[in-house]
Amino acid sequence: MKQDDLAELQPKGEREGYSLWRLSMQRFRRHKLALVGLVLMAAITFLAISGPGLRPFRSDKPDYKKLFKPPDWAHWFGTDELGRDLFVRVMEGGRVSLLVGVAGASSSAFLGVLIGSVSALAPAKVDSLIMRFTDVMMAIPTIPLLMIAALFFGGGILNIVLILALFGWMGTARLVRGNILSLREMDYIQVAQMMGASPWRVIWHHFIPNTMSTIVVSTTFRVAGAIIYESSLSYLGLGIQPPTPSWGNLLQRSMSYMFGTAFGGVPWWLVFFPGLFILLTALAVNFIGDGLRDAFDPKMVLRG
Amino acid sequence: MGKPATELPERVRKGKGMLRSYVTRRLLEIIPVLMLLTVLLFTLIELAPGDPLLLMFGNNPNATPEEMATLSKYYGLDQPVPVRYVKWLSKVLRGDFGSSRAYHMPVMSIVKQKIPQTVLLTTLALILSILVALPIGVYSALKPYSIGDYVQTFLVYLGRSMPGFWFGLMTIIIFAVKLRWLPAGGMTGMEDVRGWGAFVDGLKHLTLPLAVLTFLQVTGWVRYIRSSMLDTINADYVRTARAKGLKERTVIYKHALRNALIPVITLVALDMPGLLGGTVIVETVFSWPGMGRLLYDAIMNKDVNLAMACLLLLGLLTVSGSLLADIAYAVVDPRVRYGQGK
Repeated sequence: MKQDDLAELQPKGEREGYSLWRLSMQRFRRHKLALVGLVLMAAITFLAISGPGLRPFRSDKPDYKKLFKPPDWAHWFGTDELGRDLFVRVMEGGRVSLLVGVAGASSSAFLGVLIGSVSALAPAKVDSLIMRFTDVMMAIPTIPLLMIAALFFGGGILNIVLILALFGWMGTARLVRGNILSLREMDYIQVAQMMGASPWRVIWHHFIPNTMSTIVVSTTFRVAGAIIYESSLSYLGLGIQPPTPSWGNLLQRSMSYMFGTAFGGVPWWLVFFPGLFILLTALAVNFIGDGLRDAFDPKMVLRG
Repeated sequence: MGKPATELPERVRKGKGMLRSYVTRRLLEIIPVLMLLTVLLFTLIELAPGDPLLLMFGNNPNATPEEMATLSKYYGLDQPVPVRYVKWLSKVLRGDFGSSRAYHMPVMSIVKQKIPQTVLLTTLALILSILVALPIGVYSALKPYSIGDYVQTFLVYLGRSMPGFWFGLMTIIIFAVKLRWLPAGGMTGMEDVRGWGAFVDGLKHLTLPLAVLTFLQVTGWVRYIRSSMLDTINADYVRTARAKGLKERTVIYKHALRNALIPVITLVALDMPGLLGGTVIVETVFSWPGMGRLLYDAIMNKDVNLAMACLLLLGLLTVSGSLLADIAYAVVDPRVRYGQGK
């Protein structure tokens, strides 16, 4: 086949000579939902970082003249049981929730990559032992396990990240192990080994780059999971402890007023807004994750 | 073997034997899983920072060091870890999880009362989810890129990103607090009703938790049903069925759907932990008197024995649910029993 024929086989808009990453990013940019997710995520991050500065209220300053005010032009999300501005509190809670989400996802991914690659490269007996253990870990419902772990370890940002890592590595480990096992049979890896490449060279130059896309995609999805798990734990009173606000523990506090307050009326905004931000963040992350997955998939050819 | 066995053709008889040995094998495979689960639980107790005694009795200011030492001896905490594990395990195997700190009763007698409620809620949610997810998945596979398919995609994204407890809270605010259509929680009302009234009352209490759980499950499954159905629709045997001149209905329901269901069963088996995890959250939000709510209360009371028993039984429920689904898989797909599958 001549060079020109090969060029014609390339999907439109994807010129040859680009690396897999570059091609993937090109495809990602054409994924509409992924871009929506990216913009949404950027907006939420921006609000979480600078949001409290946008309003003239302090998250920890009670105002007893303004208890349970519904959303209006001054207090966009209303006020809580101490008259504190909910918008400012939700934004500050976002800092913690986003931090725990990203840190929890990346540390569980790190642990997963470590365990997965050790399992794939270890002798068969060790490998099957590790995989059995992984199966068991996956067979236990996550939420109850996290609840018990949080009871023993205590809540707090670092502990929650630790717990999310300790009980969230299984999916990544399996993916990485499977990937390396199939890569090991590839001709070019065997050639590299035959040519005398050291195991570290094979791991560093072949296994890791070829597994990277899988890791990136699964870690992205994991961010959504981590945020939801953190908020569930905090909602149950086992996660981030007040006065540090997080989306989960803002919801926990609102529980007491769900059936109405002494002033009459149901302060629905106390429940609605923190949860809405969890939902929007998870939605954005899932959009981005889907976009990345499609972008890294060489079989996918996007139209237009 | 009795009379019927001789009437069955050779292949079917062999298949039944294979099924039995398959089920036996899967049952035996559960044992190491449960053993590992107990090791994990025990390690968790051991690894926990802080003295378990302090966790149990720490808020008693009158306890002297001598008394703590006596208690430590009483609970066997002065012995080495493996010895304690074996002792703990042999008790657990006999159904003895020790005594509950909050209820002052054997843990098992409390847990026993809560199992049926959790099984009821989970089973109903499972059945309802399949009944709802199947038609939606099949529809969007038959009409991909239609409006209905896009609505489905949107709902799936929503369900995947929705924190279950928040969804539960919002339904409580809307349907129980604002509209007052349904009760906000619990399993039965205050009034003493019998017969038909009790049934309606139970149904009312069941509606919200069941709806939330079902929504979360359905949005998790629809995508898989859709892609599984898309795969089978394009399979050779479906084209053959069409080429034979069969009616479209027969092709879809008898040939495509039946085969598309096989991977869905695996999905249900794999999703068992997710379903039970969801049940725990939903039970907590709606004060449903099951294992999940019990676990939450136990954790709030720092009732370690009770919490451990709940977690172990939830694990057992998960594993048995997965096992049932696996057996169903072997029943519908002969390839599995003949050892061609996993």
